[in-house]
Amino acid sequence: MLTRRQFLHLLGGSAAAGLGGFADLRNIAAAADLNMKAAGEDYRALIMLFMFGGNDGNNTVVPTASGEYSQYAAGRTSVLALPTAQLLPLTITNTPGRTFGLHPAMTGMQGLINTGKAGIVANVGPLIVPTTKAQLRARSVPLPNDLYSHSDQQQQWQSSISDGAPRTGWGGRLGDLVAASNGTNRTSTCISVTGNNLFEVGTTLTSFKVSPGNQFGFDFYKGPTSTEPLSQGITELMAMNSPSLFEGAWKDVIARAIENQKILADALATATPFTTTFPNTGLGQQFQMIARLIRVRQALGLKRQVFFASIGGFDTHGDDQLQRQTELLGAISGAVTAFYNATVEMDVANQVTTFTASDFNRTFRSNGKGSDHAWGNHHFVVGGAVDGGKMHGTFPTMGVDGPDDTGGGHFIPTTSVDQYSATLAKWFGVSVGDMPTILPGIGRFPVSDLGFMKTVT
Amino acid sequence: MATRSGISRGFSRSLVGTSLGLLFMSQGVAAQESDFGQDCRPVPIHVFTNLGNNSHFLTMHEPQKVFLQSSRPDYRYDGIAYHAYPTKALNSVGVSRLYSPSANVHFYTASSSDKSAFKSRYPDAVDEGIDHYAPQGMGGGAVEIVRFSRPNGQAGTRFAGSSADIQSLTQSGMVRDSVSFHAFPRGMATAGMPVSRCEPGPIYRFMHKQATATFLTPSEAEKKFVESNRPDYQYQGIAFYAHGPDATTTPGVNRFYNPTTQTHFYTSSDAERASYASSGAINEGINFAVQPPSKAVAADLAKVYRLRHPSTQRFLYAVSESERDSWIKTYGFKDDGALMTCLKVSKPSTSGTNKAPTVTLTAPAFLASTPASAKLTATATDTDGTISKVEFYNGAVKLGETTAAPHEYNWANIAPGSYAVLAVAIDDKGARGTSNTLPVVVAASPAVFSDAQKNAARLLTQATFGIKSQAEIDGVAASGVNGWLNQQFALGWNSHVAYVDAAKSREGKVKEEHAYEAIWQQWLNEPGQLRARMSFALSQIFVISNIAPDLDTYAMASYMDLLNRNAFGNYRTLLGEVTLHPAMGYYLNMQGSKKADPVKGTHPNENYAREVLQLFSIGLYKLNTDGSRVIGGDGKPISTYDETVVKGFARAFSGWNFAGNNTSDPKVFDPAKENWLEPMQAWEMMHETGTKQLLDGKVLPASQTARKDLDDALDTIFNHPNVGPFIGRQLIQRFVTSNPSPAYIGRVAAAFNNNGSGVRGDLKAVLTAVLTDAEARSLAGISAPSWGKQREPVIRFANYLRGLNATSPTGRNKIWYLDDADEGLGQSPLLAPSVFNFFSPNYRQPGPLAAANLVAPEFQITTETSMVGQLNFFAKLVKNASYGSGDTKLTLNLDALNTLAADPVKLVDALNLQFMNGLMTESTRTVMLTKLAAISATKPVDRTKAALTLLSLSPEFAIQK
Repeated sequence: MLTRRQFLHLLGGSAAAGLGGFADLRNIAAAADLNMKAAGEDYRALIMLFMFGGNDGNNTVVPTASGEYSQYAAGRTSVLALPTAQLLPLTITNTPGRTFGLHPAMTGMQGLINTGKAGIVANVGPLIVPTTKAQLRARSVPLPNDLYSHSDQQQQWQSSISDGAPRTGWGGRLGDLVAASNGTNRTSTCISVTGNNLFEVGTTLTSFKVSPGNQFGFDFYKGPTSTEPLSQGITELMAMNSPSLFEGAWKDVIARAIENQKILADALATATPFTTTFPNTGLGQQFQMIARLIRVRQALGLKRQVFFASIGGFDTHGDDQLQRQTELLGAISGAVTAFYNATVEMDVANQVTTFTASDFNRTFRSNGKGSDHAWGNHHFVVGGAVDGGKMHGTFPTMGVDGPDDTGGGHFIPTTSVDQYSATLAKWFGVSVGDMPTILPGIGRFPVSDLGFMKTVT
Repeated sequence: MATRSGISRGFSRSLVGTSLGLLFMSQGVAAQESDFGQDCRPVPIHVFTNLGNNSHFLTMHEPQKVFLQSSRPDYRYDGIAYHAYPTKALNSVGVSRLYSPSANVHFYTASSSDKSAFKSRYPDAVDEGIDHYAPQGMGGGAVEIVRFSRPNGQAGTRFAGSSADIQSLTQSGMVRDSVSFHAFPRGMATAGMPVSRCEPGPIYRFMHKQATATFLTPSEAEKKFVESNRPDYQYQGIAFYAHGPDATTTPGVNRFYNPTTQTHFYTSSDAERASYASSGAINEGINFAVQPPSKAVAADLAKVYRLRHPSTQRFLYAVSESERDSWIKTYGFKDDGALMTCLKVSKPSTSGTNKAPTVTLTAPAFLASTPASAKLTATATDTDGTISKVEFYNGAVKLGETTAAPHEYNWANIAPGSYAVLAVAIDDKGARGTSNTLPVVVAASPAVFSDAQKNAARLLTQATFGIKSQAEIDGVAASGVNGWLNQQFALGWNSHVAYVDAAKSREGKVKEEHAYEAIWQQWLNEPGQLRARMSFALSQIFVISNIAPDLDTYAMASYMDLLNRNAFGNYRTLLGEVTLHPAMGYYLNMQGSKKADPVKGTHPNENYAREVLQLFSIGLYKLNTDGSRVIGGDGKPISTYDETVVKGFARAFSGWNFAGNNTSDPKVFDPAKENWLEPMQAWEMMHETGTKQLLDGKVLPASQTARKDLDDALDTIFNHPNVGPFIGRQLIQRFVTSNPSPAYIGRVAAAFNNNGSGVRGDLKAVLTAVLTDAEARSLAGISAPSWGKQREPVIRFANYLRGLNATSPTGRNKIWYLDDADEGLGQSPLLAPSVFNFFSPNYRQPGPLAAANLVAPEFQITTETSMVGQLNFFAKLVKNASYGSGDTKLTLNLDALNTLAADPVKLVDALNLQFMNGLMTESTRTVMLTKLAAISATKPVDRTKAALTLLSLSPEFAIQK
C-alpha cells in the first residue's frame, strides 16, 4: 500500500540546544582538480542513516540455520515470518554454526556484506549499563527513559544519552570537536540532507540543512550589495536588532539559508558528475547530494564531516508491514550501494562510513497484522574501513520469552548505542581522552571499541 | 467615417464650424526644459457625467466645456473636478484620455500600464492624447485623485478628489481602482495654487479649402480628428508654439466661431472680444496664449499676421511676411492690422550657440522624523559659461534658489507625505537645464492604532486564518473579546463530506485532493473562523495523516467533520469519537486489532493504546495543574505509565472494526468491509476478555463488553489530572504563544477541570480561557523576549489569501500539497510525517531560544532548506498575485493596497494593522518606507508587491505576538 507520497521525505526529529553562532561558508578555492582526492589527504566522513518509525530488524537479518530458523518462524508466525527461500544468503565469516539471510529486498546490501564492504552489528539499543534479563526482571539496574516511545528513543539513538534530557547529539559533539580542522567552513561540518535532527546539534555547531533536490537560494534576493530596493530591504530587515528571541531565530535561519546556501551551491557547481547512477528515490537523492558535497570537500576546505540522512515509514503496526518494509529496505539498499560505489569512484571509500540507526526494533511477536515497538535492533555499517562480512556483537536467541526477550517480544540489547557510537567515533579520530566528552556513558561498558572498524592507517 | 471620440463625434456645426475636443500640446516638446518655459498656474479641469453610463468625462479645455453644455444633453456638467496644469510643467505627469466607442466611455490615467490594460479590455479604444498635466507628489497642496470603477465589470469610471467624494463613491457601490494621480483640489484659491514652469506646445494650423479660412488648435486630438474626418480642411503643419491659457503674465487668445461667416477668429484683445461677440459670434473660450516679447529671446519670436477678407469676413493667420503677402495677392485678403507675438515655427530650443547647463540633484529618499528637513544638493555645470543660479523645486513649487556653489538648499519643516523634487540650473546666458526628479518621502507619524484595535487585531490573528479588513478589526474592538467569541461559538461549518460528495458528482470521481480543498474552503471563506482554527489545532494533536498509510478521501473528510463538530464540545466526547473513527482506527491500527492468540503468539495491537496516552491525552510524565512535572522522591519525573499499562489499554481497545458488517460473524472481522463514515463497531468474540491494567493502578475487571471496556478505559484517561495541562498547553501554543507561564497553563487547566458549572472537559471553556487570559490579552507582556510564537507556515499562507481577498472564478481552490520543503511550505493539513505531527510541542531550536530554555515548536520545520522554499513560495505568490490556475486560480486583489501605494506611509500603515496587529516597530517601518520610496511612485503595483514580499519574510510578521 505504498504510494508516491510515502517516499517523499518522512521526517522525524526532535529537540536540541546550543548554537553559538555560525561561521560563513567562505573561501571557496575553486580549482579544476579539486574533485580528485589529494595524495595523503586527511578526510573522514560519517553518515547516520536514520530509519524513522522503528525498523523491524527481526525480518531484516534472519537466522537461517535450521534450528534457529524454526524458532524464528514459530515466533513470528505465518503473519510475519519470511520464507527461507526468499532470504538472501550471507557469507558471514565469524559465526561458526550460525548462518544468516538478508531481507529479500536488500540485494545491494547483500553484495556489500559478502564482499566485506559492510558489516552487521547485532542487537544494539540504548542502555544505561549492561543489562541481563534477570537484572531487568529484578529492576536491579537503571533502564533508559521512555523505552518504546518513538520520540524518546529517536533522541536516545541520536544523542547516545538515555538517562537525561539530551540537548545535543553525538554527531554534533563530534562536530564541535573537529570543527577547527575545517577552517573557515565550520558550518559545513554537520550537514543534514533531511531536515532538523538532534544528532547533529552540538554546543557550538548545529546542522546545516541542504536540500537533496538541489534547490538553492532565494530567487528574489540579489545579495547584500544589490541596490535593488527589495534586496536592500531584505538585507536591512535581517540586520535589524530584535529583542524577541523568536524573531532572532527567524532571522538566523534566513541568514543561514540565503547566504550559505548560495556558497554551497557555488561549490557544488564545480562538482563533476558521477558515473554511478543513484536510484530515483527520496533516499537516493539524499545520498547523491551527500556524495556531491563530499566531492567538493576540498573546494570548501573540509577534513571532517558528519552527515544525516533519513527515511521514514517504518512504524508498521498494520497488515501492510511486509509490503512496506520491502519497499523501504529496497530503497535503503539501493541508495547505500550507489553511495558506496560513488565513494569508490571518488577514491574515498576508506574515508567514508555509513551506519544505520532507528527508533527501535519491532516486537518479535506479531499483533496479528504487523508488529509493535520493541528495543534491541540490528544495524548496518558500510564503507571501505569497515571490518565487513561479519556479524559484530551477539545475535539474540530467537524465541518467545527466550533468554534475550523481556517477555514482551523485545530483545534486550547486548550492545549499547554508546559502544556502537564509540567505535565509529574512534575511527573518526576521537582520542581516548576525548571519548567521554562525545559519549558520556561509554565508561559504564567494558568495551568501547567493538572492532567493526579497521584500525586507522 | 472613423470616429475618434464620442465627444468629438458630430461636433461639426457647419462647414467650418467645428469645436472639437481640445487638447493642449501633448507630444513634441523636449523633455529637457527649453528657454521658453515660463511661469504657469493650474487651470480648472471640468467634469461631466455621461448620463448613459454615469461615467466621468474630464476636460481642461474651456471651448469644449462650452460646447458640451450647449449641444450635448446626454452629458451633465458637474463643475470643476480639480485643477491641473494645461501644458507640461515641471514635475508633472500627463493625464491621458482614452475613448472606447463600443463602450462609450472615456478613461483617464497617468500610468502607461493602466493605459495598456484599458486598451486590452477595449480593443477599439483610442488614445486621444494628454488632456492635462498632474503634479507629481503632494507638494503645494496637491491631493490624491482617486478613480473608481463601476461594479461588476461595467464600463465607466468616476473620480474623487476629497474624502467626502471617496466616501460617497464607496457607498454608491463603486470600486476603488488601484491607480491614482495628484491634482489641486477644487475650491482651492487660485492664488494659493503653486506656480510652476511650463513648456509651450505646438499650435496646429489648417486651412479650409473652400472657405479659405484658418483654423488653429493646440490639441493633437482635435488635429487628428480633423485630419481623419474633415477632408475639407488642409493641414498646414505646426504654425508656432504657444503656452497654455494659464500663463500668468501673458494674455489668453480666445477662439470665436462665427456661424454667419462660418469662420474662426482668434484674438487676445479685450476690445475685439467684446465687439466680435456682439456681432453674433460664439466665444469658445481661451485657446492658447500669446507670447509677450519680454518673455523670450527676440530671435525666437514669430509674428502672426491676421488677414481679413473684405467680403466674406473670413480670416487667415499667416506666420511670416512672405506668407502674408502671398495670401493677400492670391486670395484677395487684407492685412487686418492685428499682430500676435508667438514663439517661432521651429521647435523651441536653446537660443544661439549657447549650450544649456546640466545639473544633477541628490536628496534623501526618506525622512523618518517629523517635522523633517532635507538637504537638497545640486551639482551644476555649464560647458560654455558659468552657472548663474540653481532653483530648487518641490513638485511645481519653487522652494528657493542659490547663486553660488555649493548649490545646497535646506528644505525645512516638511510635512509628512510623498514629494518629487528637482533642480533647475540657469547659465549666464539664461539657458536652463533641469535635473533628474527624485522622490522624497516624509513619514507621517505612524497611524495611531488604539490599544483596542491592536488587541482586536491580535485576537483575530490568534484565532482566525487571517484578518480580512480593518472593518473586521473595528468590529471586534466594538464587540469585545467575549462578544466575538460568543458570535464565533454560534457559527457552524460546511460539511467536508458534503464537499467531497459535490466534487464527486461534479467530477465523476473522488480524489484525495478533495479532502484538502474542503479544508481550505473552510479556512479561507467561512465566517466560523474560530471553529476552523480549533479543528486545525485538534488535527495537530489528534493526528491522522495521508502520508502513510494512504487514507480514504471520505475518511479524511469525515474526520475533519468530527473535529469541527466537537471543536466547542466536550473533550471526552471528542476522545470517544476520535477513538472509534475509522480514519484513526486505520491510521493507528485499532481497527482490526484483536485479542491475543496464544496459538499464534499474537497480541492486541499497541499502536493506538500507546499514542492516545503519549500524544492525545496525558503524556509521558505526571504533571501538576500548571504543566510542570511532578518530581518524585528520587528527584526524577514520574512516568505516567509503563509497558503493562500500554498492553492493558491495547487489550481494552481490542475487537473493533468497520461499521456495517455482521459483528456476530468472526469471519468478516478480518478483513471487514470498509466503512469510512461511521464509528467502528465491536465484535465481542475478538475482544480481549481478561482483566486490563490501566492508569494509576486501575484494573478493568474481566469479561466486560468491548464497549464497556472502551468507555471505562477512555474515562480513565479523561479523568487523569494530566489532561487539562497537557491539552491546555498545546492549545495555548497553537493559538497564542509557545511558552506560556505555568500560571497561564494552570488557569486553562482549571477551566478544563471545571467549566464553572462543574463540568470537566468543556472545550468552549478551555478555548475561552486560552484566548481571554490576561497573559494572552496583555499588550504589556508581548515585548518580553520569550513571548510569542512563529505563525505556522500554512497559517501565514492563509493570512495572505484572506487578507488580500483572494478569489477564484468558481469560488473553489486547488490547494493540495504544501508539505514539500523545497517548493512548498513544509506543512500541509492532514499530511504530517507521522502521528508526532509536523513539530513537537517541546521542540527546541538550537541557539538563543534553546539557551533560554524556551521551546519553539514551529521551528522544527523551519530549516535552511524549508526557509528558502517558503521565501520563494511567498515571493512567487506576490509576484503572480495569484495561486493556482484555471477556474480555481485564486487571484489576490491588490487594488486597495495599490491605491495606497502612492504614499508608502499609507501602504505600510495598512499592512501594519492587518498583518502585524499594529505592532510594527519603528525600525521595520523605516526599512519598509525607505525601500518603497525608492520605487517610483508611478509604479504603485511594484511598491505593493515589494511591500508584501518584504512583509512575508519580516520577523515581525512571521512571529506572532
